[in-house]
Amino acid sequence: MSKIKVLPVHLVNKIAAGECIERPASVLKELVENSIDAGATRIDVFLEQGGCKLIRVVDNGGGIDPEDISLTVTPHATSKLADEDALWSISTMGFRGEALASIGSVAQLKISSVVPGNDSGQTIEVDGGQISQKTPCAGSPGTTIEVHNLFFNTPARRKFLKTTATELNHCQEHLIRLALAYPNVAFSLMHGNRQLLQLSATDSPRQRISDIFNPQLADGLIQVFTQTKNITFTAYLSRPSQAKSSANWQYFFINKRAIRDRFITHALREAYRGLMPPDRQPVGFLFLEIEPSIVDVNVHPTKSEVRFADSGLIHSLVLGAIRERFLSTDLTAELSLAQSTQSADSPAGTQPENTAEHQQKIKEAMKDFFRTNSQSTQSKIKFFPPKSQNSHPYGESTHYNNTPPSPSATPKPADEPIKSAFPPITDSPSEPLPQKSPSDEVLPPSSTATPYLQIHNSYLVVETPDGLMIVDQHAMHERVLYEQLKSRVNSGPVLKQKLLMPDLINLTPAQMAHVEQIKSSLDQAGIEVEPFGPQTLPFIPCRQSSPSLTPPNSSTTS
Amino acid sequence: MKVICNRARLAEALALVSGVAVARSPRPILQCLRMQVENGDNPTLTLQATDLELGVKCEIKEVEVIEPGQVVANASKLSAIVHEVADETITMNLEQESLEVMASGSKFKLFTFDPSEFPPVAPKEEGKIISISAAELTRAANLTVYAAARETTRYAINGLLLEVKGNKMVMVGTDGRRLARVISTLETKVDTEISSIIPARTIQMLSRVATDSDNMVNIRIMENQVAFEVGGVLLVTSVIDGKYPSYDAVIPKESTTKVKMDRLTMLSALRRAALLVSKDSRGVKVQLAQDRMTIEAHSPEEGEAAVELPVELEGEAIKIAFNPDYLIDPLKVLVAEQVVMEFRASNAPAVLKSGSDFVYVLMPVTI
Repeated sequence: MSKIKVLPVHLVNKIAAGECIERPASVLKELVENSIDAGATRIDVFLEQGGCKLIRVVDNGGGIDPEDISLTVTPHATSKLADEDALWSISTMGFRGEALASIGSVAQLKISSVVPGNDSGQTIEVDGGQISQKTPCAGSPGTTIEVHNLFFNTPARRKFLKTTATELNHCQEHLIRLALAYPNVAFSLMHGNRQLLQLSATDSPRQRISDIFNPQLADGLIQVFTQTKNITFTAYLSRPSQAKSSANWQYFFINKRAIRDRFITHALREAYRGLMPPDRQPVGFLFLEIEPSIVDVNVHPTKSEVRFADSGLIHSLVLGAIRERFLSTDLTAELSLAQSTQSADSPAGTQPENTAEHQQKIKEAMKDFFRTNSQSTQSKIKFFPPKSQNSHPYGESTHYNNTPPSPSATPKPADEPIKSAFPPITDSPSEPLPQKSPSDEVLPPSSTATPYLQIHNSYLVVETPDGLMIVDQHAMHERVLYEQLKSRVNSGPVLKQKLLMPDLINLTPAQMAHVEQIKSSLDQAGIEVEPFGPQTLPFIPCRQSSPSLTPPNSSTTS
Repeated sequence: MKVICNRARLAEALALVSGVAVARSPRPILQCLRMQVENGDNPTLTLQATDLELGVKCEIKEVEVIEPGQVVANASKLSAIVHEVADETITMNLEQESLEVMASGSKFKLFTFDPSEFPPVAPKEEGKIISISAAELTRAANLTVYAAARETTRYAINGLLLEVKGNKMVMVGTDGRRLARVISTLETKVDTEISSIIPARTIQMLSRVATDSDNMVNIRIMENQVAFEVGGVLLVTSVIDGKYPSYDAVIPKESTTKVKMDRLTMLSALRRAALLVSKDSRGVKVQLAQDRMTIEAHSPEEGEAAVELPVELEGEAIKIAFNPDYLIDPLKVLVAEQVVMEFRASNAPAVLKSGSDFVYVLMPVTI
């Protein structure tokens, strides 16, 4: 007797539902995607109990022909894929024809649709896989789909649903992703009686970001755009100073489909490397339009992952475009004290500050700061009005090069130099300025240039016309050296000093391949590398850049 | 402790010893020196200082001991005091916990430390002893020490290699771009082979100490230390732990071009040409043809220089470029009238030779 049986249709659907219908949010996603594929310009979503009790999606799209309506709930029936070739150039959100059949097998589903131009339409209901007869209905053009009591017939799955708040959160997140991808579609989201989203149609993704999140975030975003033969890349990226502590604020879209992709994630991280602390994440909205033939979206049941024909190309395109944009952008973090208290959406009552009183408070706070901290900070904070011929704070290079500052560099009575560095803070003009001894080279009496302040031997605080600037002097030094090397390399061939005994570096095959790639750039910078031995991996940088760029006796290559 | 001492001799010894004491240290005792006064047939004042890597001990015989004893006091202060006063003699007296320094019209009191806490300056073991004339050792030191690397992460080449085999002593210095090697002959044979890496600082110190060329220097080579003993001064240094590059493999054995020239003429020619090398790329082009050497320098910001000198050329004409400083260094310290240079190709190491015992290998630059 045979033990292998073909599964009944409703069981097949239940199993398929397990793959793409995970929770209310996935139902919502499928339904809204259908509406978008139907050409809707307005989509209204109503949820109850986070979508567990009811999900209703109302659109004004093209509707379903009365004779097709029973096919919608038949598995593998779709209007979106005509033949096999079309699978390789998918331009709609859905294409497998599984969603409605799957939803119908695990919930009570009701579809009503009116084709524009007709007075009435058809309704069909599915109850746990049982399809009812279609009945006529009236309504405005478009399709309304209701999903009641999701997973009512699969208790195991129902048990895995989280709290209403969590499920609602997921629904909202999915809707936000769709809304970001389709700014030209108006969306609204109601939960019970509460309006959660109200987004009007717009042409500008930035406006959509502003409507969903907040205008401050949207206004600060840097737009990146680049285009090649079959790829268009647009991105809205935060300044490094607006970075968040998690990657939840990163949205990637490929052909308007929200996806996760480690290559793009990496490219984004890489573009911000060195611009912000390693534990911060940039905010970014990245949109890629790729010719459907070079990206495969049919790898994941929920289509949240894609496969590229050439992922390296995508990576370098994204990284290159962002880097290029950043290089031409002033990324200096700005802190506006006065404006921010007014522009921030703080309670209205606190806004009109008496400015004079406010200034006074600041002044007192500063005085207290210096008084209470003078003991502990006295040995760590140094004040350096720059030398008159060199207004750049970095000019005081001797203090950077780890030479121990002369004892006179550390002000003994901490109050005095502070007053001299920030004259406006002293409110008692009768107090004389500190006597500067002629030997005290860091406080030249003739200095009229901007004073600056060094903290922990690591940071410089410099006065600017409208505020202050904080410089990480180590990063700055690296940058200065880098710029020197760059200008040297750009101005012609660099002198290379050959090494008598090459430095050997052990590399993994991947690193070796990378070195092969950057070999010519290294050569331009005066470092020549050669593989050493036929099978082994070490490389020999056998020359070195010109002595003035690297300390004469350092071995830069080790 | 009470002692009367010749001021000039003391000042000289203090200058040497206080150079070893650490200027700033979390252990204040390392900023100090230890003075020990011994009576008997041989009245001596011994000064000691150490930074825990290099230790120095210096004996002064020009003393009159009134009461033996010892004291530990700040090295730079004592040195400055003895330097500033002008008397012929100076009296030092340990009075309770203070060291009194007395000269005509002035009296100083320095606080002291407990002598038992002072790290000892002495060889830790017997080791093997070789003997070499001070003149020969200083010559070897001077010919190699400038080539040693400074503060690279390849610690071994921050020191100089001292190798002894049979009756030959070899000293080598390199910074990875040039290498200097000098062979000295010992008067006595050594039955075992010795190889130690000695910090460059010790070797520099040595040339200051072994000034009297008639003296003999005893070198005591131990597992982790090397000690040099000459004319009442003892230097004890830790050796650098590491593997020195195999210098022999680096010295070219063949050449296609050989030139002989006057050392001072060459030195002066290089110095003149080097006036116009650019700050960014310190390189001069050297061209050899028909018994003439042409040295050219070019600085994009300032101008250019061309210097010619006569040479005796054997073999093929060649064009090659060097960092002039790397050629000036050995030419400055050599003494021979004539030097020889050998070349193989413009991208291969060049060799500078003087006599049969000095070899200097130099990598060219590409401009």
